[in-house]
Amino acid sequence: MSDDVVLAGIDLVKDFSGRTGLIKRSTGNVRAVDHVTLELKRGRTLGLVGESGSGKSTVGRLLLRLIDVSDGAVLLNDQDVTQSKHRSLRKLRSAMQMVFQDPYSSLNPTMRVGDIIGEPISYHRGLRGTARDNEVERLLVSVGLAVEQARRFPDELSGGQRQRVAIARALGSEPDILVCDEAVSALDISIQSQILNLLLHLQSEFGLTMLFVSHDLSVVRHVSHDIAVMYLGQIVEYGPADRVADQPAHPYTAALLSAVPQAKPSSRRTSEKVILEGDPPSPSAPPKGCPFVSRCPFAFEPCHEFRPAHTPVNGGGTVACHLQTSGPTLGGASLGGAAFDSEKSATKH
Amino acid sequence: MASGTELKRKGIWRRILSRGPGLASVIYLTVLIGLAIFGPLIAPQDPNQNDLRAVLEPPSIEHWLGTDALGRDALSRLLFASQVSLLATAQAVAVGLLVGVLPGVLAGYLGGIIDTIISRIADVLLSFPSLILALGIVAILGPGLTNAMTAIGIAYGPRFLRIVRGQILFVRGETFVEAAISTGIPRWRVIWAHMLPNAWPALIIQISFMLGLTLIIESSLSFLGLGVQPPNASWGSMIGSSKAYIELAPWLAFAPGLVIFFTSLAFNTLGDVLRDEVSGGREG
Repeated sequence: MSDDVVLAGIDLVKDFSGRTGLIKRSTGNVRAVDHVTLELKRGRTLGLVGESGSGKSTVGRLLLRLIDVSDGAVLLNDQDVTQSKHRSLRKLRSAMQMVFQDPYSSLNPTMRVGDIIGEPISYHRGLRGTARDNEVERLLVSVGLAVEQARRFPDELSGGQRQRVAIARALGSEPDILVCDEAVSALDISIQSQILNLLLHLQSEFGLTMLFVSHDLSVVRHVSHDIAVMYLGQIVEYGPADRVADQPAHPYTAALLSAVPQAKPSSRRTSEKVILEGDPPSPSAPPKGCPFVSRCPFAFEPCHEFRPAHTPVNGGGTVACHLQTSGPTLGGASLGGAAFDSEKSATKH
Repeated sequence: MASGTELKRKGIWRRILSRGPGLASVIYLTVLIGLAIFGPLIAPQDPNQNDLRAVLEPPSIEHWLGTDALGRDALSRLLFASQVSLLATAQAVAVGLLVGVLPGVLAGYLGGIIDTIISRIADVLLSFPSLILALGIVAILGPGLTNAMTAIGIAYGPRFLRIVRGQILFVRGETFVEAAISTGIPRWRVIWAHMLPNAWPALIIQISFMLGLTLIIESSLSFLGLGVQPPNASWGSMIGSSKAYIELAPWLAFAPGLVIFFTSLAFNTLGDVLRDEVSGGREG
């Protein structure tokens, strides 16, 4: 593991067993996360994009060990999070904190804001009394809240204010890593940008490493250095944010981009839209070959048979798509991979 | 969900006091508890001091509630009996909480086989009627209030257990609990500060009802002579010992009977009002 990798998920697998009923009849396992490997580099933000059910939030929870992995390892500064227990696990957790999607449910309604933020401070840094209160106030100010709001209950605050409280709580243990799980999805559009800017500001102020999980590629692009795209529990494309967003190598990424409204219709999108039809297949019965095969407009024979391996892409990153390795066999003319972006479509080795 | 907050804020007590029945119950119970605590100081005479020249006297200036068959002052005895009855009642409920809350938390939090084992034991205990169980214990250990009340408390355990387990199960999947775990604080702290507070409203309501019920059970046992032993008295035993003279001196049964009635009513009314206010707060 190279020096600047702070947190790495290696070959992560998560199966949820679908047992129902009195006699625990097995209704088949659901593989929510399917051999995912990713690295968070110090001071950088990795965006994790995918639609609902793609397993992106599960990856975030596996990294923080809010749920246990079925297979694979999570290394935090070379310590395996998946093997830690009790005290040492809590210590590891203090180094990586999470901001949850819905600030209306992620804050305990029976606790005052000051106690919510103060709890991790007192447990991880041993600050009590006035020292703790001072630290709470410092954090409140740094997330843009008033000091007086420490005495409020969460339901006296707006959604944006609540999310600021959640962020302040996450910063209380002085973490290296912040996992934002759809951290702005539940907020109004106008509030979203405020929170995003706050996160960017805090990242530079505290040197945070971030994992930003979202279904919204435009949001992810705005905050991320790198982007990983998930589909059906697998990472299908990974690379620098600009390359992934401007020159998507995977048809699914292109489809996600097509779903992003363009402010200036003339500005870009020389390429055709890739419109997806249908729903993703059930994770309990995934396709045999490429996970995307059932909805991919460019699918050809190998896609049905073999799972594509990750191959390097021009401009950085990797993609798991047969079009990249055997594009010419498409017969080029009509599709030629050109559908989502002409420069990018040609295969390369 | 907001019920925990509702209780924590002063607002709920103000709302209870703003309602007639709630206010009446709180005032009555406060006065009663005050009398029980300070009874020994304000009692006109020693409750066990007999005066055979003045037996079964009707209420008078000297003896406000009259005197019993041994010429003891009924008011003094009632004041001392208040202490006995209320303490015994509180003891049973406290024992119930003691044996009910922790297993309830464990069953709700851990789930699985542990939940199954704990819940089945609770079901067995629940199947005993409290009074019959208390009678059985008294039959084995001999008459005495402490034994009986401890037995009743243990029989109450499952009721509190069920409430706590249900509430813990209810909040276990909440995001704020997951968020608390993710901050890396110890598990007991997650349970104590984040999960249990949501069980308090339901528990307090149940405690209020149980106090009313226990008072009746305690009175029944003492009425039968299986509770507090002479010469000391509880409300129930005062009624019990006066029943032979019910035609000569009906006032002797009247006073403790009314106190039992109103106290039980006050606990139940308070429980009703609390329940209304807590669930009402959730809707509004």
